[in-house]
Amino acid sequence: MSDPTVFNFIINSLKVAGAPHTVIQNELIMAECQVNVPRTFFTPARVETQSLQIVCDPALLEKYPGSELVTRGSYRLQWFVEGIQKRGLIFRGAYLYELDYRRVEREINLRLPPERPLFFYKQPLLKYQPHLLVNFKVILETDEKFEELYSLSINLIDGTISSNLMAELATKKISPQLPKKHLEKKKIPYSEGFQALYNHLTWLLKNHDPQWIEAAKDRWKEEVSYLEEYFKEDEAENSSKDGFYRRMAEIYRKFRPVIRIDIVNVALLYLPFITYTLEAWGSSKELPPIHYDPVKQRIQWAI
Amino acid sequence: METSPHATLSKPEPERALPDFSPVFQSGNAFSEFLLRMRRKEWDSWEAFLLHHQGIELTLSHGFEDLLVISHLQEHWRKNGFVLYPHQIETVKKVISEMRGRAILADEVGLGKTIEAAMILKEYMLRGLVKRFLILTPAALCRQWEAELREKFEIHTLIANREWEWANYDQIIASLDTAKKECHRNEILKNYYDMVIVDEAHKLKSDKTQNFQFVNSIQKKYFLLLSATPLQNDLKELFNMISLLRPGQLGSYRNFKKNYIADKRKPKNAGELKSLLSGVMIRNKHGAHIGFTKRNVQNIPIVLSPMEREMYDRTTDFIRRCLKNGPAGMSALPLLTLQREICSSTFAAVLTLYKLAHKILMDEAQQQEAVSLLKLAQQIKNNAKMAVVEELIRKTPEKVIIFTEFLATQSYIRTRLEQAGFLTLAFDGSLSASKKEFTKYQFKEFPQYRVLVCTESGGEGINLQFCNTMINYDLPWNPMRLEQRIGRIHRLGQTRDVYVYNLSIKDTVEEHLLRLLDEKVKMFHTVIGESERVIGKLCRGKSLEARIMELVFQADSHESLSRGFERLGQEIEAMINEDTPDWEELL
Repeated sequence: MSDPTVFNFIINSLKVAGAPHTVIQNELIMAECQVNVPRTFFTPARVETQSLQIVCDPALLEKYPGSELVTRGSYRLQWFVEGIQKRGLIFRGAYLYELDYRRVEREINLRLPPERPLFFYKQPLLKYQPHLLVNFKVILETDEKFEELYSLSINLIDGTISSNLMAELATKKISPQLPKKHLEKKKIPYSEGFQALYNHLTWLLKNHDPQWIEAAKDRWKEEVSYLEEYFKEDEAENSSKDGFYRRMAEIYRKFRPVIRIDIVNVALLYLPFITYTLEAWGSSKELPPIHYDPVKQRIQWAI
Repeated sequence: METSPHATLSKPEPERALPDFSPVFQSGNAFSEFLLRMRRKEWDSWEAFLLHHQGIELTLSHGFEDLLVISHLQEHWRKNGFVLYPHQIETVKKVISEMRGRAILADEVGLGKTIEAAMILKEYMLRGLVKRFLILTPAALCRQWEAELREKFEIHTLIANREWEWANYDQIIASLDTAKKECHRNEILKNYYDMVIVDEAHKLKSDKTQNFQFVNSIQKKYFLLLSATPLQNDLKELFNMISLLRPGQLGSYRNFKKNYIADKRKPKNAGELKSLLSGVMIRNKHGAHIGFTKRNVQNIPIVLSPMEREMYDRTTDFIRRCLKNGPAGMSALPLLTLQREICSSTFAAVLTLYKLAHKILMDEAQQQEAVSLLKLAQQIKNNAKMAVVEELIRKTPEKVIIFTEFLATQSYIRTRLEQAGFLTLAFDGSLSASKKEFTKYQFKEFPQYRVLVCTESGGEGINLQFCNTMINYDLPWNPMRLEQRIGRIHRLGQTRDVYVYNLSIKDTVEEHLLRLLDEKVKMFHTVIGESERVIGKLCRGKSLEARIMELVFQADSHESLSRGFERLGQEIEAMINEDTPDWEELL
């Protein structure tokens, strides 16, 4: 069965790379890609055009003879992934928000509790706050290996860390153009922001389900029990002791858990943030301003 | 947790303190790299950003449920017509998921141990668990490994033989003999290898050898030993190999001996031992489930020309007389060689006759006889066998491999074929590994080369399954070598039926030998692999080769030689039929 994720990924990669391509009946991708052919002893380095005819469903190989099957794990998918890894490393952009007072007020009202104080909305203040979004690849390695992706972001004004910004932005239209006005200057430097994210990730990983470590430890114990059995007989002999400790070190190195953190890519995003000052209705009591985050669609009373 | 099955055999040990198992954190690429890009304003599009993330997500590794190597290389294999067999996939899965990357791959010859090992290696490489590896093989197989890994698995390796290469390259193939030399050994032992593979690992069967000690000292994570014959002479050898791989799998040697050895060739508690072995060893055997093509064997009797007959009879007489009345101190080896040479061709016998004619130890009459035989041999310009060979080559449109044991015969065959208009190539032990590889390439790719003439040592370990026709110009007295010859073309990956033509001269040792192999050993009739088991049985005790030599020595006439072979045949039959439990049931 065709894997739509792989199919769409290939089409999007071709679009991003600007490679001419045609999709036939949503089944076959025909494309022409420029590939760098490295220098050999006989030929200089050059760029060649490679014609690709791709299907993502094994059942379609017969229908489109000469096609290449691309599935998860296939060499060609890896080829596309490696190609795209040179792109999209850093991004800067904004979620441009058109301030429609009525809509915003309606959205805020919807989110306020019924027993809220009565107030008038005064003139809102729209600002774009900088967020540093970092995607991490985490590799959990013993004698086995598991990989996970983490996406963390930090608000560079107030230092709030969030783990779902990437998902929240997936459906939004993000522009590479920054708004001309209302850009707030960051209060936290990038390096500190990154360090905070890294620390947060480390904290998350320390609280990660330890099952993978326990399983490795069990395997290690089993190996050690075999090793002890083998060397027990000659324990008096110093020569074999060397062998025992060398083997122990070898086994420990094989099973010891290692967590490797790689940064996948980084985005600097300016996201809208609306502040309303409020005027209480029928009361002299002053109300604090209310903040509205249109991306997360969340309100917050300023303290 | 699974515990050692030997735990009950020993008194409990005080629990060893657990080392630190809290995870070590490592950072890959530093944020500063990204910061630099941000300062340079190398911004990309949002689509590229999302796609980059999605690409990584698509290639994440989630444990060992599925083999990546198959989906990764399926297109490459499809284009190159490489077929994977179910037993190979099962083996790879088992080694990775159950044996944790430490195993003895002990498949019978021709079932693709190299392919299995290469798949395991590639699987670990694709998962990022192996970056640095070392493959140790006999020198003659280095090139073959290099080519197999490159062509079938897109793994590019270096065949290392210089000191500085060990530290500077991560993907290395080396001959075991080179690697264990003092200067190389020191460099290798400094490194940590994610994977070590040892081909023809039966060379590590004794723990006292330099080979064993050296491989044992290499620091490694995953470890594969490849051998079609993990058990040759002694159960201790098996213990050593397993202990090299996973010390303690069979307990200590004292316990192993006590629990599992009846005598050095006969196991005790075979069922239990077999179950322990299955934890580290996989042995796939030939059978109907493995897709071998048909092996068609034709024995062609050759009648010698009168001159050749005279030469053969006189030489055989001469050998018998020399063996009986030969001077003390004279080795029987040249005479035996002469007997084998004269079965091959008169040309092969010339050099030995020349040497015998000039041997000081020979008495004058014998020297005269040798000179006279030499003169007779020089008068014979053609051998009857060659006419049959030419006819066979003319009849078949296929490329043909001819095997002989002797260089002089090889040279004669080539000369005659070239005269007949056939372009030939030669494989012999003197060729360097790269020259062999090039010759194989020429033979495979260029249609004008119809015939490859190989000597035994030249063809060792070389896979020629693109070819399906073979002529055994002469027959080795060791049946294992004959099986290995046929195994060059009749192995997994051979897509067509195989044709083997055995030439044997009537009324000679060769005729008796061929009858013995055909009718008693059933070398050409049994299910593929069955003959190996029979040969395995024959190889215990005195080898068949030695028995044949004995017969040749003792026979004083053709009739007595016939009787001797008949007796040997009966012995072999009895040996094959005897049903004593032995170590074969372990494998």
